[in-house]
Amino acid sequence: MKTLIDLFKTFERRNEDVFVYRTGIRRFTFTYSNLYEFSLRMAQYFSEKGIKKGDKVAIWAPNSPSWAFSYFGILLIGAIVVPVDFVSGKNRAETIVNLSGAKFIIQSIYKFEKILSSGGLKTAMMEDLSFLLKPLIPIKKFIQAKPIDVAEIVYTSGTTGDPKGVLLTHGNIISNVIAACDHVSIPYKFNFLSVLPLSHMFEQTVGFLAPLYRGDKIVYLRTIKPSSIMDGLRDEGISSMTAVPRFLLLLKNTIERELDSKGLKTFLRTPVLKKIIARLIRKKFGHNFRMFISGGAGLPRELFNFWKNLGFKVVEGYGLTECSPIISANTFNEQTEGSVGKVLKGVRIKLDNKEILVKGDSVFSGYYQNSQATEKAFGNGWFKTGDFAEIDADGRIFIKGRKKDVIVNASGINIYPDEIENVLNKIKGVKDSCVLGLDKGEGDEVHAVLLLKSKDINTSEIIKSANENLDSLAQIAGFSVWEELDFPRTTTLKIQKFKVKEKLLSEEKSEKQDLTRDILISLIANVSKRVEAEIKENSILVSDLGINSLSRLELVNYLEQEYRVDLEDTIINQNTTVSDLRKLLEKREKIKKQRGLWLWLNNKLGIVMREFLDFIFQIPLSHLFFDLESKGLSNLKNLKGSVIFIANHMSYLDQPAIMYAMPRKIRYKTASATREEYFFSDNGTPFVRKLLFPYGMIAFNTFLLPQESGFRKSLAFMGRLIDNNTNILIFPEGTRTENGKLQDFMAGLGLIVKELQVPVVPIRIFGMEKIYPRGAKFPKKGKCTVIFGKPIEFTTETPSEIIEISRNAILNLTAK
Amino acid sequence: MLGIDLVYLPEFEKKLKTFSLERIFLPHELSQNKSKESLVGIFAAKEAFFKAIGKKEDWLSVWIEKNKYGKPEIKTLLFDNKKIEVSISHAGEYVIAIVMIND
Repeated sequence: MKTLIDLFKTFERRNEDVFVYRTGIRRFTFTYSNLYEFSLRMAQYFSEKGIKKGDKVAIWAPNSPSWAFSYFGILLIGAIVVPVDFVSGKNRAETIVNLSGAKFIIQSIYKFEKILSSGGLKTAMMEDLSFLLKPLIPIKKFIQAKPIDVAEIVYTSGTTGDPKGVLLTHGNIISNVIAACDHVSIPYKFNFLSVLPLSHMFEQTVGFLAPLYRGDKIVYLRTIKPSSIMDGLRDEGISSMTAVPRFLLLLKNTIERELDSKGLKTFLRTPVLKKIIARLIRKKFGHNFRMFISGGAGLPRELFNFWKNLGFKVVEGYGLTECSPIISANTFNEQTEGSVGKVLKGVRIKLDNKEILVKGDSVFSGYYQNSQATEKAFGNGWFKTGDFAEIDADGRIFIKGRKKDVIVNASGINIYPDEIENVLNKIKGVKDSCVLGLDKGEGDEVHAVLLLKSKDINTSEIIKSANENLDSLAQIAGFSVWEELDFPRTTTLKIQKFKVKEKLLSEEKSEKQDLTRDILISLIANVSKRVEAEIKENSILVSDLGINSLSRLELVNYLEQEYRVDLEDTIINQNTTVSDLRKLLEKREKIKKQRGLWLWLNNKLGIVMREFLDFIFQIPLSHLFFDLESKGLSNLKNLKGSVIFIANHMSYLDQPAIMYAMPRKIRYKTASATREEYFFSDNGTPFVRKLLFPYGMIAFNTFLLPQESGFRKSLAFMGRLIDNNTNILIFPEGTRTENGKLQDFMAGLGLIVKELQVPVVPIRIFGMEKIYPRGAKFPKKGKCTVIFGKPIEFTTETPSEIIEISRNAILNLTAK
Repeated sequence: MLGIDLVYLPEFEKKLKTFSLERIFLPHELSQNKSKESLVGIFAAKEAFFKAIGKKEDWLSVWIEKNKYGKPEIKTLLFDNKKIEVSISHAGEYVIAIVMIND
């Protein structure tokens, strides 16, 4: 295997799953052969858009299967992938597009500001790709790349100034993937959770290409938040994920805080109980979870040991984008505390005055259109990493310092202090500045230390104007003023950052002693832009602290990250006080479970129960009330996968009549939505209805669909039904008709269809208006006709259009 | 019932950095509104809607669609059979929306 195209060819006839995409509502799976086919269609798409060999195509979008299709689609026509961090702002994306001369950019609807197509640049939204690719035929012929062909240009640094484009060839990348797999040597198949950005070589090699090479499964999340990560780990049986140290630290803090609140923290030090607690914690990560792969920044020993004590491996590696990226790593069987492991096969290193120099198959050949930077990066054919290390007798590498002191945030984004310093130093009044990562208990945050020209300068104005010129990734979070005449410097006049840091930390410590920092108060202070002393326990968030709806969203988001729970911003209302909020968070109150959602009804047991009830009792009973005629059954013959049935609503007997009109195979694989307000209304519900409800759920396989609060939970439940190959029957009028005419549809149907992404089959039922109409006490026997229409597939329609089209489809079904 | 909301675009943009669009907008709102101005208009309309009904509900229980003439219309899960009218206007860095609900 010499190129990424060779890797691609191995996908063709493999039927194992390669991707799972969890939207929070649906769970979409793709096999290796799907990946093969969709990538070929993507190649066809690009070639229709005029993209040719050697053209650059940027991808500025979140991790998802479509990211992978785009990646291979680009490579298959010989074009070059230019990945852009999804978290970065439009300015940076535009800079990279311009520098690389990209002809096309794949972007995302989840970005506030998009890049518009113009002259030489075309664009598409990644979320539209599934519709755009559907009608296309896979490209007939794709290129055979050579190892020396450029596959990617990955831009590093340059949050402000001149990003450098690292040219990586097919040979660079694939050799690193193979060497890394051999080196780490995981003995069995793994499920990976991929949340770090694929635009970074770390995630691309470790979390994407290596699993593809090994035949593993990769799970992507549409929404990356603490709860979706934990659900993903557990539900998908994840064995491993990549993580940056800051993420591992945030996770550790949450676990410790939870133990603390339960009074269990001290038990972590008692030998026997330690094991029990560790087991309980491990359980939260699912039954398969084994290891984190750590990279991007140095892993503190204490963090390594914390996870090791819990029974998880933390396999740390070391690399740079320029080396595709891995230079050294620990292995599955052996992890050494404080070491980044041994060097990979095919990579050679040597130390020059402790600086690591690298040579080998995965080392890049230069920066794109930047020979000056390229020249500076190499010495006698060796790439100068700028990092310092020691190597022990067994060849284990210990990193001793990094020249650039990169700050890595929790989502794995590199922030380069020198670039922020450049911005600061240009601002009037700033003599010099020193930017470093300062840990205030939640991992490193960007901290600026200013050396001012005079004392009466407004420092917050300086920071504000700097932040305006900085990418959203690289915002300065804290600052302090350096009171001495100058920073401590080396003989070559470089600032000795570690000395600056030592001083800041010692000052911090003395402050901490008289004021234990309250996280909730400090978050509220941060969001409301008030000083902490102003915030009292009985302060009302909205009226006293001026938290408006935007700040509320901001605060809730911070709280979610900090406490790792799901919160809705409606938890804060007009009267919520600080102490209310504190109680709510301390209780970690789980959001109430929605009633009336029983998934087991659609498993074997539920199906057998219904078949039995129908056979002995319900079907014979139904013959007393109606003679049934079904029409349009041929429309159901070619259904692939689940659908949503929608029908007009005239009578309580509609549901059983439609069920019995369906072929058996579909009948027992269909669940029906009932209106929650009917069974459980606020102003009391007849006792008989309450009693009937559980029987109805079991015998007719129904679930509750509330219109208001709880709608999204029911929606998620419907997603699980569909994933479980179950159809859904909905009466979109919501209530039975009074005059026999089709009423307006509820607005929610449009959202349901859009989120579930399955076809809609219209059904019309006739005759029930005579048999058992609204208001009648008892049914009167008669003939009932059920007509099934053709399935309708929706793509980019709005919710109202979906409703209009579906409603007309029912109206068009006539008894003739 | 009447509600009004005025949004200052730079503030919205700044706050947005900390939370994701999915908290406020439904996928179809995001895919049909490519410019940031129109997204902020939707935000203002939702906020005005909550003011009109007098309480804060889930952002995703209400959404905006454009009719064939491009006029925005508000749809909601919270009730049916009520007439809701909305109007949105932009000027420089400000966006304003007004919502009226009739039984």
